[in-house]
Amino acid sequence: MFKKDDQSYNLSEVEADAGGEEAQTVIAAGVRVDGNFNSRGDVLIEGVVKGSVKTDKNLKIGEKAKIYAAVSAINVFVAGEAQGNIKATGRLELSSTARIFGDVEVKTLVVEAGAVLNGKCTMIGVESPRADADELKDIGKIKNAKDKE
Amino acid sequence: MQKTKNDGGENLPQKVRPKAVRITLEEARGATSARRKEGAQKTAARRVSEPAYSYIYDTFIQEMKYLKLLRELENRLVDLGIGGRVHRLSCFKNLQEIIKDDVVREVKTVVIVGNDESFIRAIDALGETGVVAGFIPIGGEKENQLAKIFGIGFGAVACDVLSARLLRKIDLGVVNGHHFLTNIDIPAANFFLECDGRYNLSFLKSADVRICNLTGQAESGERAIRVLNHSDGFLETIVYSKSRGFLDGVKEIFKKEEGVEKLSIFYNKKVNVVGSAPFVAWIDGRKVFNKKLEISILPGGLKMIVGRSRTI
Repeated sequence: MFKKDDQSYNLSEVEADAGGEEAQTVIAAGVRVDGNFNSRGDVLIEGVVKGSVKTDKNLKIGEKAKIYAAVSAINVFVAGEAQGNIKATGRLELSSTARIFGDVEVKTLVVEAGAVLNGKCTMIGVESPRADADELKDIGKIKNAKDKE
Repeated sequence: MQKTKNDGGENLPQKVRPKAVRITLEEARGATSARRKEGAQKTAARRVSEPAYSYIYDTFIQEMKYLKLLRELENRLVDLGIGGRVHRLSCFKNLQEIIKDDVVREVKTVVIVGNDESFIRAIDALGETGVVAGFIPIGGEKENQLAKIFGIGFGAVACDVLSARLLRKIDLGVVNGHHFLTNIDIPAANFFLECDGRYNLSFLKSADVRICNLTGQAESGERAIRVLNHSDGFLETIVYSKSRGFLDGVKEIFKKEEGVEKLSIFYNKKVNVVGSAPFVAWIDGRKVFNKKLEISILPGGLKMIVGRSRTI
């Protein structure tokens, strides 16, 4: 998906791809987007985005990217800085250079050593173990009572 | 004139009124429908007399060196049974007016005989008319890039393509109320883009912008990740961020920032380019000077005869 080969496309090659799957939107370094950015295809961000980013597919936030936005996508790969809440219905992958300041809602979370995640993390599809928590509380109470005795 | 006796016994001439003819409603309806049929027949006859094809020759074709080629083409067109009215452009004839007249005359197909420039000039009038556009390229390959895209060969091959009549609907761009076919190039200047009324694009470094409809080749040497589609109903906005100054340029040469994209690509239906001062833009290769460009896409705005070897 996010291959980085230095292959320069000519018109015929580019057009040979036409009719395939949804195109990839690229926000390169030096470009700033303000507002609600919606896309149907993959999105690669290397620049600056303020507002919100929403895509029906995958999102990659590059190493030099800065995002001040709420993000929603299926799979999110973060290598840069993101300030705002992130919702990934699939997988959220944080590389060692990732810096996230906001709440995260994901199904699968992959964190590399060195990544920064400041915010609440909620896993989609996992029920909160309340019963277990209650049991632990009870155990705590018993322990406290015994200690007092 | 009849003389009738009146009460006074005098014979005075009296006008005789014509007998009122009473016709039933059904008879009246029948007469109306007959009249309508007659009118329709007359219109049909007029249509038959009006040729289905109209050929517009650009001015440069009227040079002597193209005389032989034109004769060959005309003979071939007649052989194929697709001959039609011929318009020869001159400094006193307006291409747009000719096409508008053809549309009024209910000509089915307008064929531009010339090069890319001739075809692009005709696009503004051809868009949204429902008339099928054809193209016979004349000259070298360099002046006829569109012919390659549409899969139209040179000389008699172009006539065969016309005769085969393989139709494709192609999106047209609209900029400030005028149609364009290929792309709009805007060199770096002080402007920003309003995309689909949802978000704005501004540039931290100076950037060239290309808004593509039919072709969108990235000429920067960078990879153009994406797909260019002539009938997807989207404009492709390509932004190429450049180095800001001399030092940045030197840095770029000696210390290549690998893995950092410089080419941004967006897909929009409507883009407004707003400048703080008038800026230069090249629309289909024609230079314009404007403070605001309102650009949108017209899906399937042009019906075009294409060849089998087309690249779109």
